[in-house]
Amino acid sequence: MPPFFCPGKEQTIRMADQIRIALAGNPNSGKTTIFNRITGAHQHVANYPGVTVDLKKGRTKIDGTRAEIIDLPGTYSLTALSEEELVARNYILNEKPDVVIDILDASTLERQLYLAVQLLELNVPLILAFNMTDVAEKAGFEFDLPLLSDLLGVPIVQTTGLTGEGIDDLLKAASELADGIIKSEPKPLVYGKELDRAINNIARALEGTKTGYGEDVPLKWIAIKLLESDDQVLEQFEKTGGMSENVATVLLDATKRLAQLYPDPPHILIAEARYGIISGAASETVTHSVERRHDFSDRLDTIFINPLFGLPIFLALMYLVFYITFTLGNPLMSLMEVGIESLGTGVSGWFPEGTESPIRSLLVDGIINGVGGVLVFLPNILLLFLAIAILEDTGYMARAAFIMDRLMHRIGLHGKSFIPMLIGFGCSVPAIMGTRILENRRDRLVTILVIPLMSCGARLPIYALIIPAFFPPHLQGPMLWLIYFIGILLAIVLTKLLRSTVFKGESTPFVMELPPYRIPTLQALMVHAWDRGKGYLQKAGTVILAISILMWFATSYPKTQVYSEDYISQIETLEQTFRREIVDMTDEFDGGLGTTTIDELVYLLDEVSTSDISVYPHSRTTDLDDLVFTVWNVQRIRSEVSDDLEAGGLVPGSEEYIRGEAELLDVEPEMIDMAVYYLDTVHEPFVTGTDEIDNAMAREELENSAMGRISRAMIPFWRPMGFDWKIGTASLGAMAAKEVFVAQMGIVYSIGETDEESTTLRSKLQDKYTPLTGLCIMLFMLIASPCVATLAITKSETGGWKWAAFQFLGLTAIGWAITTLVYQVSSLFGWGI
Amino acid sequence: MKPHNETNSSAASCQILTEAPLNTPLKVTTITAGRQAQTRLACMGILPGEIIKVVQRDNGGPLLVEVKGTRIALGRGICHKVTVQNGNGVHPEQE
Ligand SMILES: Nc1nc2c(ncn2[C@@H]2O[C@H](COP(=O)(O)OP(=O)(O)OP(=O)(O)O)[C@@H](O)[C@H]2O)c(=O)[nH]1
Ligand SMILES: [Mg+2]
Repeated sequence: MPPFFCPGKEQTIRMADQIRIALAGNPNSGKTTIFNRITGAHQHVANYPGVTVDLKKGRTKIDGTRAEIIDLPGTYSLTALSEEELVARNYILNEKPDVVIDILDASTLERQLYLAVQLLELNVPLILAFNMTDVAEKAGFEFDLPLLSDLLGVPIVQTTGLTGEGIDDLLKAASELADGIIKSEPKPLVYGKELDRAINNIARALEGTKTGYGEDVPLKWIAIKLLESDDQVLEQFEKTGGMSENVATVLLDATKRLAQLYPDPPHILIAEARYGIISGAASETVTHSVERRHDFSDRLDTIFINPLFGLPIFLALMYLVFYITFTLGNPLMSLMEVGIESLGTGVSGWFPEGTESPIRSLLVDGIINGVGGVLVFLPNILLLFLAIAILEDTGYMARAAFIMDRLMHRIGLHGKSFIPMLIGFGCSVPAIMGTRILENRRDRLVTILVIPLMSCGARLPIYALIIPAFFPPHLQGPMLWLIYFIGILLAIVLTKLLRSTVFKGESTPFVMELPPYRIPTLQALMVHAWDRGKGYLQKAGTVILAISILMWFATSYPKTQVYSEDYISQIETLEQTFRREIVDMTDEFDGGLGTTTIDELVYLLDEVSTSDISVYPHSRTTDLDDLVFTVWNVQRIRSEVSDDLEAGGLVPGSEEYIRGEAELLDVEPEMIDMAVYYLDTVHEPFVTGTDEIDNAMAREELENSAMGRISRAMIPFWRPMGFDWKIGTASLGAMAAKEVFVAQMGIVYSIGETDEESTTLRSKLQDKYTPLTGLCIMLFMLIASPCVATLAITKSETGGWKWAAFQFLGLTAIGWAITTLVYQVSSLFGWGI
Repeated sequence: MKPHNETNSSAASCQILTEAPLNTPLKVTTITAGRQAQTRLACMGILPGEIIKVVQRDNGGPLLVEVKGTRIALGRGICHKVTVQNGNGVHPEQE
């Protein structure tokens, strides 16, 4: 095959029928905006191997050629100091995209060119996109682009991401660059005599030695990085058998000489030189240079970060975010609940009535309820992410961090950590995902680890069950407040502790750009909110699905073979009594039972007295029909009475009332008596009796299940906290999701389906436990073991199970220790017993 | 980039950034922080010789600094490590 010759510098043959274009640039320069413009809807989020920073990839076609576009994380430079910078740099170095487009905010050109110079050092096929042309123009900037392009040796295209202007030109340039029609040949950068000499000497010494980098990585770049003592470059040398002695000597000589000549260390000298190159080029090509232009922004800042008003405004905005998330989100959440419930009912319907199918139970009780329990939060989470996107895209988020920094600084964190912590009061999962706004890994890890101490919404049902059961009304409010306060206090203490032990060391300085305020585009907001929401969905579809199945198995198996009592025959006895009474009742009916069998009758009566069919189509020709009709009507009127009619007059639900209503229906009074007798004396005891037996069976099944057994085996763990195995089982269940605690308590106390309003469960708890135990339950639920969704998200956000395990073990140990301490000390003094 | 003999010619007028006057051009003289912190500041445009301006400062909170047409929040801790002298609007290149 004859080589494809092109005038480009590389003279490469493009074998692939697809070009790859990477978008680099400072944060907020408009990369994502341009990325979305180029790729439209064809995008997906890809996780870069090994790290947690997302690289977004999308596709488009340029004149029929397929192109893959990669949105790199926004960075100010290409050092090895932060994850984002490493991701961007490694992508460019290792994946060798065909074109790198550096998107610059032309209105702050000098600072933005700092990254461009570093890309020039890497000698990649570079195009500069001067974005925000509109802003720059308004600010009165004028660029001599042909000259600047000439000085730097790279193509420059002007764009306006907001309107899409110039993006076609940009793509055309990219494809021509990839095809070798135009060139990107960075001019040699001049760092000054001494630095140039040092760089050249080191680069020459590097020739032919192993560097740990590919051949096309410029030696000069490696030389610069060595002078800067770049951690990753040094590491690469280590990995490939160390630096050759010659290189080491030359490097040492060079640094020594520089140290003799200049007071600043080499990395500063190089930075200065880069800015020197920039201002040199800018002075020739840019008119109206360093001056601030964001007058409007500045004026807004005098309000938003005002020492006096800043904090109140911030708190008000946060309140608004929560209001939107949890008040407006709740109707949508109810809608999701209804949807999930009817899905469960629908799936149940596939299985024949009355049979005990383990598959049905797995599908409905395990998967639909488990995953559904997490999915119901999706509307809230999308709203929350939308609110965050608004705060971020307008530029306010940086101000919030600025305001909170003063307080957060005291506990060893940055202002930015405050935002995810606040979200934690809603749900830990989005909160932990929200820590992505923290660029420093140590800050991020500490924040992630303590977020579960912010008492999340799912824990509220537990408090709502316990507090009224054990505490008098005047103490109920303060108790709830106390629990939240303990969580916050503990988070502060723990943060300080982690900062001085595991994450010791000088905290990285707080350095953050406050970008000019902007009005976000609707599309950008949707994309940002959806990107994060999608992550939540993926989690629900994978880890949470798996855990739900596991929890289902643990609570359903092993099956109880032998019950302590013969429940089956107890139910049979109840059923027989029920049937007999119905037969007795209908004994003297005119026309007997007609064609209806006794089975049908029992079924019919049971059905009309329990289910809420709104229309009962029945002709009334026999006494039997009459009875069924009357039972249904009495039942209907009773439920209507209890639902709606709470007005005065006749006491709703009273005998007279029912009779009066029924008389309108022209039914014999005897028949009404019979219907009332049936409902209250025949049907009601049957229903409660069978429910009791069912609950007792469920309790025994849970007791015998893996979960129950584990909990009983853990009695030595529970006892010091004053827990019995029942509380233990519920606590284990709470690991699936905190609110499960309430339902599990219901099962162990044979109450059946339970919510936090259940007075029966409350009175059982009152009988069995002391207020002290109540407090201990709340403490343990607050502090110990985050739910599995939280652990799963910690795992994926930190890139390994290590930190998830640390979080689980650490918080559980602390929770146990504190609860035990409270229990033992209080018991000793006889408090709360 | 300036050789040894040219720097800190007027060391007496040096001030810590946290004590420098507001809204006045200031020339950065030294940043006595670790390599990481220095590098981080450098890529935001804050390095010796650069002209900056403190726009806001209140007790205990971070400082708001203007540099190269952008606004940067700087934590108290790092600000204590930066010294400046009155810049009088003179750009380093024009010296
Ligand atoms: N006026 C103006 N605004 C723009 C232009 N391009 C982007 N923006 C706005 O600038 C803001 C930041 O844009 P993004 O695309 O999110 O910036 P980014 O580079 O992806 O930022 P990071 O993801 O933080 O690195 C958004 O509010 C955009 O609407 C432009 O050409 N003109
Ligand atoms: Mg972006």
